Amino acid sequence: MRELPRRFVPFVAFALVFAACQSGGTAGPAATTGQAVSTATAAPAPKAAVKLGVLIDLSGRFISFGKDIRESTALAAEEINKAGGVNGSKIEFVVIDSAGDPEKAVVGYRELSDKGVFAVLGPISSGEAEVAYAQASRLETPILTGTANKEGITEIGKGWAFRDTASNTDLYKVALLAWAKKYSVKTAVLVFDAQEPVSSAAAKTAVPAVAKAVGITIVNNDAPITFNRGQTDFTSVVQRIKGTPADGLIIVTAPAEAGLIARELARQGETRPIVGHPAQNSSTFYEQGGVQINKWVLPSIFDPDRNDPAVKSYVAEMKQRDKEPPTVPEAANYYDIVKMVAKVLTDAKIDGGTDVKRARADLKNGLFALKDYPGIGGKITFTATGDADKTVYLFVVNGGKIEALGN
Amino acid sequence: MTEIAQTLLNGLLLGANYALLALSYTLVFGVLRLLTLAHGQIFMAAGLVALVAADRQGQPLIVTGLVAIVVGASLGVATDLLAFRPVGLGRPIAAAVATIGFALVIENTALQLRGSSTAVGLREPLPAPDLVLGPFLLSTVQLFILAIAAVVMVGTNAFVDRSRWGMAMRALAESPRLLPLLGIPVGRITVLTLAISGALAGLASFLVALRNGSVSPLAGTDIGLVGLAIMTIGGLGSLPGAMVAGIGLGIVEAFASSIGVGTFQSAIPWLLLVLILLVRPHGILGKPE
Repeated sequence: MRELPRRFVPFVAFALVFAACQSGGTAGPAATTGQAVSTATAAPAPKAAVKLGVLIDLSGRFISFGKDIRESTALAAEEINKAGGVNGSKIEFVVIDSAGDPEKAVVGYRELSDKGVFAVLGPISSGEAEVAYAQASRLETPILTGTANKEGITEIGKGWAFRDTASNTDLYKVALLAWAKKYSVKTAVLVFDAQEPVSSAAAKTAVPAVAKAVGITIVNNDAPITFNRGQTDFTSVVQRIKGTPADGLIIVTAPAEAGLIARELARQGETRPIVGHPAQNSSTFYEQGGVQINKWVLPSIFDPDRNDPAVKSYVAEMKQRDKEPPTVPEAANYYDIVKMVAKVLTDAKIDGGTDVKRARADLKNGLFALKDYPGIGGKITFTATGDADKTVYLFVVNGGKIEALGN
Repeated sequence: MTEIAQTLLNGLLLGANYALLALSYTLVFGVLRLLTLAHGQIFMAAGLVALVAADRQGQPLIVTGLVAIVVGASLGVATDLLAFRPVGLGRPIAAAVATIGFALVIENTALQLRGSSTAVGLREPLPAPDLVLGPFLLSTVQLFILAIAAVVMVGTNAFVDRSRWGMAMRALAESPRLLPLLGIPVGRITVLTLAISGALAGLASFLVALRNGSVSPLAGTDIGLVGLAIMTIGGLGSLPGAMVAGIGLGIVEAFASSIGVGTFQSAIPWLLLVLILLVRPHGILGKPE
């Protein structure tokens, strides 16, 4: 009889840890069950709320993106609601965690559409967007990503899918040109993570095409130097880089690996200029590489130091809200998306009581009609395919110090 | 020739870490005849906690290392209490499955508390510069790691071979049913084995962090699978086998990367595993059952 309670101890401990997992994150049950989350702090609005779906990762590989995006969208909604909402209706979010899983993204998109949301914000990754967007024309629910940057994904949505971020091609067009000009680069070594979908897609398609277009020869195009996601030892990789003559290096990988490469490059005395991937514009890269990051050019879709009151206010607010700062730059895109959607709905005289089908159609048409919307990431106009014509900001990192680089 | 020697050296240094992790797996399997599939996550969690603490507190390096070892040991003990004991030591498959659940709990707790971004904590771990010996570039940090790993490997082996507790561990591996009859506390030996095993995983994580200054909350699964492969290549339950296989794998990976087939790096442990098992079904230094 004495054994029985002791045997229960592990189960109780397990249950406690699980409970901690569920409540430790600020996601809360609404994020996983798809219940509406009101961002209003005042009494309930007299009018029905405008429901927007948020399909982001609140678990899994992109959880840091998801958490920041949840905060930036909540911030935008709070500002809108404080200013009177959308024709008197408050904005409410229905949040679903897609966990970086394309299958969950498809199911989540369908579920949100069935719940009558006017639009869906997300998903985060290109892999999720590719499959979710294939449902867009059937569900006839506008879906807007601020992160997925693989070429051609909006076309899959046949007019119902939008992207408020630059594609890899658009980012590298600006970055490679400025990099080549600054460092007189004519030839380059291509180095990339062959296992990470975002990096490998950019390195296999966008980078070679853009390099050719701007007059840079990739000397190892037939045999690029590759490695794998999660690799921690880059000694041999850098040895190969050093053995490949060219004017500069194009390193396409996630921030953590890029930081380790920067350290190893410095250790082995490699000093050629580098152009990186926009994902590297993150605290992980800067902390990991530290002062050993040198002559490293990075494109980005957001400049937190831009002299614009809206940018300053956003950065200050996010600093208060983000429990694990700094915020990922792409969260700014989602802030803009909420504001843009609210503007289009307001202009189309839509509120929470409007017929869902009409609201969705008007929203889609309104987004295409929007011209030079003044977002915190810059002016936004959607092309016929649903891609935003975005401003690309350039930074150069020297000795770990980040400076703006004129385009 | 110089390049080959440098690559060999790089591989040796890389393999030392693999060997330590595989040693921690092997200890559990060798003594308890149980497979733990949570060691990758213990490796990750120990490093993560130590680095976050280092980043926030700025404590001395040795304290960071101790934190990693203590966290690793604690999670090792937790594996016993939460995964092995509830299902019973006599049910190896159920016990292994329970450790998968424990691994998921560790990983998801880390993701919820810390997010998915890599934790960076040791930016300038050892101030000593690299050594340039003729044409060879030797990382001081790596040499330090190699020395620590070698001492710990030899020490663990000696502990299991010569100490009273080590003898009890080996006795448990040989005759699990006889030990209780002799009055030897099986429960304590199990806890001790898992604590040492977890501590080794924590130390391996700290040594990797010494080199990289970082650990990813998502690193557990990949590194855990590599540890499993090394343990099998070396011979299930063989401590020297785990060391040989770990160092061997490091060298093979370094050469693969240097000749441009680094993309297949994650497949290398498994290719080696198939090859070794074809030639020696019980692993490099394992004994036939």
